[in-house]
Amino acid sequence: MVKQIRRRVYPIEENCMGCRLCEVACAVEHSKTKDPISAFLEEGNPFSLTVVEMAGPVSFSLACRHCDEPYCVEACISGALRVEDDGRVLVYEEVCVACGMCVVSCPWGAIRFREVDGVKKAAKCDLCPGREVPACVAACPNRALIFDTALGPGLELVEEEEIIEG
Amino acid sequence: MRYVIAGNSVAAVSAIDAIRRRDQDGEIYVISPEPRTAYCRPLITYKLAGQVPPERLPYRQEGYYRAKGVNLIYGKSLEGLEPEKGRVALTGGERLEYDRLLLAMGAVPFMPPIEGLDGPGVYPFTTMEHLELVEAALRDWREVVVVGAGMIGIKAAEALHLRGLRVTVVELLDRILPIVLDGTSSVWAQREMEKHGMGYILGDSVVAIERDRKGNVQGVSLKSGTRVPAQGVIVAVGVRPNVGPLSSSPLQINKGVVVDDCMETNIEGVYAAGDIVEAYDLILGAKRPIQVWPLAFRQGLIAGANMAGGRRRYVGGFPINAVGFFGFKVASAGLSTVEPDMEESIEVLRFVDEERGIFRKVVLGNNKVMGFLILNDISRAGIYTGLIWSRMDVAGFKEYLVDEVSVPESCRPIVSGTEPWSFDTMKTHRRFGWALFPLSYRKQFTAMPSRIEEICAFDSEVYTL
Repeated sequence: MVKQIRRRVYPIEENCMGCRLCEVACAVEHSKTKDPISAFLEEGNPFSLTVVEMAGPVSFSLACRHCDEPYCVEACISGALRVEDDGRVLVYEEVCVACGMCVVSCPWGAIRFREVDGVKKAAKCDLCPGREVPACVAACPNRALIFDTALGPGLELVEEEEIIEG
Repeated sequence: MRYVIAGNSVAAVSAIDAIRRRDQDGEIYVISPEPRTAYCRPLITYKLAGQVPPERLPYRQEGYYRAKGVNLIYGKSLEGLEPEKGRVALTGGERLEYDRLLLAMGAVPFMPPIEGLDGPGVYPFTTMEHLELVEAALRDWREVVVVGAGMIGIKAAEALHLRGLRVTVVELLDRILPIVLDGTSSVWAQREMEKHGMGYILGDSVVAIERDRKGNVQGVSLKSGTRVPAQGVIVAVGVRPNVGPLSSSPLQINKGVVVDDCMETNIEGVYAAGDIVEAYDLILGAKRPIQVWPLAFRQGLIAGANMAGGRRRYVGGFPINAVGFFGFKVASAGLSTVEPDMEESIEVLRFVDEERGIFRKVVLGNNKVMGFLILNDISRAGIYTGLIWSRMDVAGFKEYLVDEVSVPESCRPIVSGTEPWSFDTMKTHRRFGWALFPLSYRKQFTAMPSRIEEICAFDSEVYTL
């Protein structure tokens, strides 16, 4: 069985205070200048790929789970969403036709539309290429986000599933 | 081990992936009726509208088949099945032996009995071949009639409209997108079409296509007696499983090829996936063909895994659709056409705000989400889809499902074009999400990013509030 490298950001909701620094860090990391001041004031289009969910006392930062067998990749009619060899699920914006199938399929609600130069495209967590640890994890002041890079069992998990007879 | 896959679209590609994950050495033969690699079928309308260049149509990158070690047989299709000899007949009488066979021939467009249908100028619109025919004919067309206001019909009509043609959509039922929209929402969609100058005729059907002496289309006449001038006709009244070549075989065929939980047919070693099958519908609890892209992918994956010796179960599926025309977006899944007072056992939650263009509808049966319909702002619609997959009891947070929930200033998300010290409000965005779900659910899913429907299947007792 092919072993898969797992790279995922897990939220720990007991630690999350709902400060939303991860959203700011994500928006800055994915801006053109990667500078907080100009990202918010000059570019005028800060867009966070993670969303802090809140309901009463509960809060946690929810971004793409980078599933083993992602619903979004299944649903993508243009082949713009792909599972990379390192387990990341990425959207290739130049291929995306903004049909919305991934948005409707992702049970996490982790894919959103982002307007790039007047054209709407699907946007999702890319685990910050070029960074060792994603920006949201690095920014979290309370260790409510952890980055897991373990060599996971990957597909073996689903493989063990037994068929229910009858 | 020799795997033979009949058909070459999304189900075939996902099956190839699944086979190669488990079996690196087996031979794979793909019988491709079309002389090209797998491409994104739904994108042909985008291509017609000029929104997608031709090089973006292939579904996988160049060299995919070579990398997977697949033998492609172009231009031939499966003509017959000889299971007792373990082989299939191809076009031209050629025979191909198999150890495992996957039937993924998809569906063929249904052509209704209309007078004068045969001949040039009348095309269905499901494959690249149809696209080429239409593009070649486009020069001579000024007015087009699209028969059928389903997904393909609407997208084709939009594309032709964008190419500068006068388009009239004729639909037999009383609303456009009849399998997705309900009464109220279809009025919105019709308004959108009117705004862009696209004509439509509802509750009427085409009885005859008028041709001149040379055979060129001059117009269509409708049942009501109206005559619509047109030089071209697109027929998009639905598709039927492509079971024609299999009719003489001992396969169990109902509307489509009947498969079990493992996507295997009644003949051992013969599997089926995609638009051709009649698989389990998670919501209706019965087997029926559901012809949507994501399910074809899923079924191909399950079939491929089982063909290569794995043991995977297909839990079922339901239609998932997202369609947009002129920026008007429609997202739906499961039962979406149900009207509030249609059935007693079904509860319909709705939030409609015409001024802001918000339309959200969630259909509940026995406190479980059975379907939804959202117009315009479709962000986070997937969470509803997840609720359908998981069959979660939503009684605890029913009131939040569709209604606007006012959130404190500090909870509002970052949106574009605002000063950093006052994050703009986008109330609808955070109205509903995972934070509202019971703790046991949240734990389960954050810890194990597997498939929701597989985790939750059949043991909802464990995960109640």
